[in-house]
Amino acid sequence: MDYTTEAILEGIGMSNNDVLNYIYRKFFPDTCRFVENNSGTSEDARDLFQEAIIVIYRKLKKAPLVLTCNFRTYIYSVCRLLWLKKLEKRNDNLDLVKSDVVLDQQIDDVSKSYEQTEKYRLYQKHFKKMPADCQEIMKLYLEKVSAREIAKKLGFAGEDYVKSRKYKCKQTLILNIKSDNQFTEV
Amino acid sequence: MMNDKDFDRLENYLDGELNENEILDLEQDLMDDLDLEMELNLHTEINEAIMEEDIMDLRSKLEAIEIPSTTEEKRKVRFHGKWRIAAASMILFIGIASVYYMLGNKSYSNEEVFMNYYKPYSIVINTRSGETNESDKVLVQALKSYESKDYRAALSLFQTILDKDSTNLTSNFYSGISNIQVKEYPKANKNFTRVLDHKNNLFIEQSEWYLGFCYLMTNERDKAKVTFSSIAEGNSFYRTKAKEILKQLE
Repeated sequence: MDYTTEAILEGIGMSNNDVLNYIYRKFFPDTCRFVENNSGTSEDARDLFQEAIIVIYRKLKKAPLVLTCNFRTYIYSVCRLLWLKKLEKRNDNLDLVKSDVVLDQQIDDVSKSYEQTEKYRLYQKHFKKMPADCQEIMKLYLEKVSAREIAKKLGFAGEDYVKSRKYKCKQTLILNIKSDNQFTEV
Repeated sequence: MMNDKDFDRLENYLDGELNENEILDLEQDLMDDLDLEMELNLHTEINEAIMEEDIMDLRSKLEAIEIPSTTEEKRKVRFHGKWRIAAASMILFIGIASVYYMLGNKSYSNEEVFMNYYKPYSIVINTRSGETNESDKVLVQALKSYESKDYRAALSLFQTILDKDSTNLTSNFYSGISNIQVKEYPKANKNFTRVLDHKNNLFIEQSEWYLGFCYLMTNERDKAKVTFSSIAEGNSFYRTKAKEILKQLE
């Protein structure tokens, strides 16, 4: 079955598995071909396509998105723009893509969102690698749950332990992020 | 690397735990110190990123999507010459044969699987702030012994906590690992079972994982398979490794 552009956008907004699978099936090959023809690999294409969907998701979270083109054209334009930015960073084969990119008004704020997406992707990658208790403690802290409550909830001996663990978890997280080669890039 | 004092100040600032004077001091320092300001921005962004559970979920879903193989494979075939295809086929055949030999013919003993995959759970403990509560002190001491690999001392300290509260999750979990380390597998099994019986805590997936190793070492291979299967089918951090173990156990 085919989805309308509106249904696709709604599906992305709701992280609907069927719609996400449909998007990959229908639209990924174009992006893959484009990236492979412009100094990239299929793995690059996969990363790029994923980030493009997340960028669109972020945009949808801020405000409803009404497209003046169909979804195929839109996601292809987003991917091309994002790939151009990647190549800019790599300082690689710029002219090749530049001549091909049609900057649409609807995607010109995509790059800002992409920078955030790239940065947060790195932070989240390292956060996800933290032990489960660290993840939980840090999240609960941010939800303003008291150390006493956290200790009770997670079965720790007391709030001092929670505080020192949170400190160590955060310190380790930041250290891991800073030690990542990508950190200087983002 | 930022010093501990500034790290603390920034964290306390973001957690809303500084008093008025401390906030003023920090704000003054932020105006004078660009590095400190950048550090604050990083801490703030990381906090925001941590709270983006929806994005992390979406990314996991996207990563799980199988890319349709037709486009990639067809294109590769089109660009490769027939000799390349022949060579690739030969490599593929050898590869499959080797994997088949390794996975299919080689049978792994329980001990071999244990040796291949088991390692004690690592912890990071911090003793910056003095613990005030008596059981906190014992726990920190026990964890220190655990961290320095003195498992028997750790077990004895965890036991003093468990004597008062046999359901204490942290003590049960780390006692379980310590018991594995000193080869007391049935005791370790008991510790992990207690944690799992609790059902809602942060050590569930770890306990399930280590329980699988207890079963291996008590020669209960079928129970080990059931345990690792349940991990492999779930969302556990250990899912991929559990799948590998299952292959070795088949």
